[in-house]
Amino acid sequence: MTTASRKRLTETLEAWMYLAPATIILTTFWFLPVIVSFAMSFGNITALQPIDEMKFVGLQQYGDALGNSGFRQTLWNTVNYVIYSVPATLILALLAALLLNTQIKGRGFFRTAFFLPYITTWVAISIVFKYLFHREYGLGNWLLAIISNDLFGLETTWRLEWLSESAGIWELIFRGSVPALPLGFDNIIAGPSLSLFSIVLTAIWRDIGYFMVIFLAGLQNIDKSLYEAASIDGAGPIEQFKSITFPLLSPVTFFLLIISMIGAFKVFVPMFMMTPMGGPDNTTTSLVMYLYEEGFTGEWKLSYAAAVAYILTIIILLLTLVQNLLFGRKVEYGQ
Amino acid sequence: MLRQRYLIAAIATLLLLGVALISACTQGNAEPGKTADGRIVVEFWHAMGKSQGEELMDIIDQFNHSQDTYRVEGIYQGNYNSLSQKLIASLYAKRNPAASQAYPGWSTRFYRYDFLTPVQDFIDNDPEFAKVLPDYWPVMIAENSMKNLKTGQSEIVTLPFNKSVYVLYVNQTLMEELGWDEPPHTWDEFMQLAEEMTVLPEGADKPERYGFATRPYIEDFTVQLMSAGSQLMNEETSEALLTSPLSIEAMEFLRDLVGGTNEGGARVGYVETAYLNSVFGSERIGMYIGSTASFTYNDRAVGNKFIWRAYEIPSRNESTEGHTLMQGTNIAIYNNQPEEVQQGAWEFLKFLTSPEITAQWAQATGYMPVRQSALDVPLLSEHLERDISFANAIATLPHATFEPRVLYWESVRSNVSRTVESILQSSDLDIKKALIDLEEEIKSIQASAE
Repeated sequence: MTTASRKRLTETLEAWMYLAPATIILTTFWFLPVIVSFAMSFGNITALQPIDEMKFVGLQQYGDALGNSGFRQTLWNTVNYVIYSVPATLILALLAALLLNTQIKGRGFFRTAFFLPYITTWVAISIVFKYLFHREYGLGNWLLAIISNDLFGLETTWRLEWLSESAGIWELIFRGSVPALPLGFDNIIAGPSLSLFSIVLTAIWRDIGYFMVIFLAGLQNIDKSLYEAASIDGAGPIEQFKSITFPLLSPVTFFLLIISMIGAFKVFVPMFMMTPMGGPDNTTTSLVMYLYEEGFTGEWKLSYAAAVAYILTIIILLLTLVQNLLFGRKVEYGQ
Repeated sequence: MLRQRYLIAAIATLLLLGVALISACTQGNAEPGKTADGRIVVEFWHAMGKSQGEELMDIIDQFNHSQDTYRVEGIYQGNYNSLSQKLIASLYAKRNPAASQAYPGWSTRFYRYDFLTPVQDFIDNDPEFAKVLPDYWPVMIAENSMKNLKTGQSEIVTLPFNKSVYVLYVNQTLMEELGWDEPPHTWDEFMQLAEEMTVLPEGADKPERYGFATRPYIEDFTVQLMSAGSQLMNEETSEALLTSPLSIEAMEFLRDLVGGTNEGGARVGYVETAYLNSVFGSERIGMYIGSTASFTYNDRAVGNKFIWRAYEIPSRNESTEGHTLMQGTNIAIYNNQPEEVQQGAWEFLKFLTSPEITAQWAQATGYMPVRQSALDVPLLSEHLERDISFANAIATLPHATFEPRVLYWESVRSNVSRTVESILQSSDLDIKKALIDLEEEIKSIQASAE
């Protein structure tokens, strides 16, 4: 063996040794479960059933899931959660970042204040918000009463059932004036149930801080000279935002859009904590919560839950690809 | 130098991993534990918290002091859901306890996949015990018996522990004020009392007090069905009985109870997903149906505001023999533990269900005593003289029945609950059609499970 090749061998070995700890952990807790659960999704196994009783059933679990009204309902809940939480969070976070990127007084304090919810655990947040949304003693109804009674002089006695109202938010707002549409369209028009919407509000409140910090980093990367040049050319703040800030922030926005959508599709804890029974009429059960209930409680349908997990993976994968196709090319990298 | 340092770091990491691996492996092979004084340790997992947990620990202490061969260690697992998840995980890992609480649905799974030692095996070797077997409530023994798949014979698999039954909770003070000296016995009387209890202040759009409220789940429908003398499913034939006339009638009655109006045009009842004891305590409702597990919660919610009582659930009419629903966990013994440990678990189980102990347990917690002779134990008999509600509840045991024990029960459960919820939430939904659809769903669940 030449010195060169021996050196190469040692280097390779060395590299493997550095990689070994991560590889072992990832294989045990990541690759193996991914492979095993994928295989399981084509069988029909439940908990404690001996593995030799498992029959290959092809795509039956996938078909069962897609045909199951409970699955479709939770998929619809999850889609609603994504639609109502992701864009709102992004827009509000961007606004917060724009404000805190100026020379505003106490911005250090505000930055911290906005970021604090994100580092608080979901469990603690859920418990606090459950109180805020309490029908009798919650801050939510108290505020509404103040607004309607003291500000507008109305004598309202109703109270919102924040976390146990199954009617859609638009249905509640435009009560009676929403046309009944066939083919489940009225479901779309009715909007997410108030319970789900309450959870969406909680999620927005929590996530703004994190998105804001990333937007801030993006904003500070934009060359100040561009703004100077623009203002010399007579561009106002709106024009500057449209022509400089927004395009140059697009990589950050795109990144946030993708990760927040993926995160929102995987939502579990707030639903599980705030509405452990799945909310009124199951309107707050997310897809992952459904997976958990099917796979790890009750009948322990492991194969079915695995299939649900892979359907979720496929949905996220497809949507990410679509986003890439739609927005990927419009993203401006570099100046 | 630098490379050497990297190498040392890499070797250290590998060593650490190795140590972790070895310690993980050796733990798995640990010998069944014994205490310092040589007693055999019997691990018992349960989900009894708060005062119930304290009572159970007290009973375990009594057992540990009553003999010196075994030491039972009661381990609290937080709640039933955690208990079931930890049990299944531990059974996979062969790190399970000797015995645990188990709902009939769980034991069906454990038994089917051969993780249990049926208590029948111990009974067969214990002639003394076989003599006292008839003292257990027949409904409880029936619920704890399953068909052995190999022999085709029915055998006792588990023994009952904390059982509750469904009863009608009534605001007694209010009922007497309205001139009723007897609780309602039939559906008609039930409806009438609910109407009389409802109060709608002038000008208000919602009643100040409703006669009745229900939760929208399977049990709330099942108890009505049972009060009509029917049931959800024939366990033997796995045939769902949801579209029978009785079933439709029971569902209609429940919807009328929450959706009907009284003479003054006030709505008599409403649907609520939360537990009902707090609205009962705040006098927002006059009656509700719930399990006897609510006794202590009722006491807390009602306080001194009024007297409440529990009664047998009214039957469909005078000629129907209604049943009530019994629920709760049993105790299972796992077959992968050393024989002596299992024997210890069996001794504990006998102790736990002995007349004196089950009387103590019932008196302290409000759960049903599992033995008939427990009613003669002074501690309980004196208590029953004072606690009419509890005595009423125990009196329903001879005609109590239980939920079907099939592996796919949870799916049935959630489908039935969903349908019940939608029927109760909308007054114009066609009940018959909804129940026909539900029966179809159940058939497809059965088909995919078999």
